Amino acid sequence: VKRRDQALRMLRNVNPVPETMDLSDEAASPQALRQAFTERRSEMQTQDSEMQTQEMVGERAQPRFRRPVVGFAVVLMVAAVAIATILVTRDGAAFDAASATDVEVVQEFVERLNIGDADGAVDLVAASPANDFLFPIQDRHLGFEGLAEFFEFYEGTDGTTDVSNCTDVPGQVICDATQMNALWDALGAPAVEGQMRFSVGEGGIAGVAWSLGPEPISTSRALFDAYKVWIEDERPDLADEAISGNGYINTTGTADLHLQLVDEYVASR
Amino acid sequence: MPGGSSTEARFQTLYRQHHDRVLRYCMRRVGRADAVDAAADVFVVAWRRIEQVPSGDRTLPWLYGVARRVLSNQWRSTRRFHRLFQRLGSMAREQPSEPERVIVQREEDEWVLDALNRLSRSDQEVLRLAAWEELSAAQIAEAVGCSPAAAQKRLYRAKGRLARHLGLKATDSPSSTTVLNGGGER
Repeated sequence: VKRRDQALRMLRNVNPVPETMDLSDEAASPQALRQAFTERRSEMQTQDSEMQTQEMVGERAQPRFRRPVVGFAVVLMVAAVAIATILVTRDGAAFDAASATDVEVVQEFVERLNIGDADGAVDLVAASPANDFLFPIQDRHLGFEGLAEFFEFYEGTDGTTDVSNCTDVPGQVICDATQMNALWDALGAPAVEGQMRFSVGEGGIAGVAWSLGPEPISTSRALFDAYKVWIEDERPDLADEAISGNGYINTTGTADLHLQLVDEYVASR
Repeated sequence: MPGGSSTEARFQTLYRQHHDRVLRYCMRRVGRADAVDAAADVFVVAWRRIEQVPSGDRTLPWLYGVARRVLSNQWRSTRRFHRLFQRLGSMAREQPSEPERVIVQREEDEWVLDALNRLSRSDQEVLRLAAWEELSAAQIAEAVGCSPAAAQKRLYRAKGRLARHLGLKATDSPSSTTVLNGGGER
């Protein structure tokens, strides 16, 4: 957040037209503006008259589906108003993790991730998050700082997760889930589809594991391997920064790096 | 067509209160002469649609939204003219002035603006509205025509991307690794 605020402050400081700049010489009077508009209208004025064609003479035929269409439109409008009301009500209320059910905590966590609120997502994480968090993650315990970096990567690659049919079993919430991001999309990889198992305890979400079918994994693995080989061959100077072992390195900076590399990679094929 | 003394009074108030800010908005995005024309066009639209101009805090963002569209039209027509000029075989000596091009006076300004110009147009617009026009997320939503929640999300992400382009780092925390689509242990 500090990083973001600092960026906005720097931008504010390079405002090319500050509020203090005197613009009194630049303004035309409102009367002159209105006068110019009126003159332009009168110069452009045309006269329209309706000419009846044969089809318009006599009683206009009633469309057969008029009533059902109007009815459907009314139903749609009522549904839209109801959804808007729910959304407004929901936005207006602060989320209270202590009184929320485990399913509600999971849904709130996913929503915060999807709107790019990495700090808000971390707030819902338990004090000692497990190694295996959100995405399958290798090698090391992330801790809060690492987790926040990982969430930044998720945000930087426009990650989106949809969860549905969440069920609450002791200590866990299991949801049907679909996950996608811009990097996978550029590589032509399919969305992750499967089940997400959230471990939820007193302190919040302690871990996330995926159950996936074999087919999307093998397709994505092949795509990733080809991309990895290309990086090692064509951009060896960036390989250590971008990939590690057989996975992506997830930090704040590597989201942009990967999006640039994958553009080059796709263009080279 | 608007008419009546109350309408006229409202327009005059609108103009007095907001003209300078609209002009500044335009000057931050195009050259001075184009900005003056664009600001005038914005108030022509406001006069024509005076009944639809929202009141209170929503007025200025609404005018900014009109200004954005006026500048886009101006930019498109300049580009069309430029392309036609080239097709006719003339040697165009100047590139059309881009809406986002501004005069850079200091080297560090150029650095920040370079980072800004590397972002998408929508990211640039929400950042400018927040930093230069000092709008809230709700007002940005009015100006760009989206929901307040969407504006908040766009602004949050745009700030993050700008920070990355500026090379600002929060911490030197250890990196983590993930495997595409869950190829690792689970």
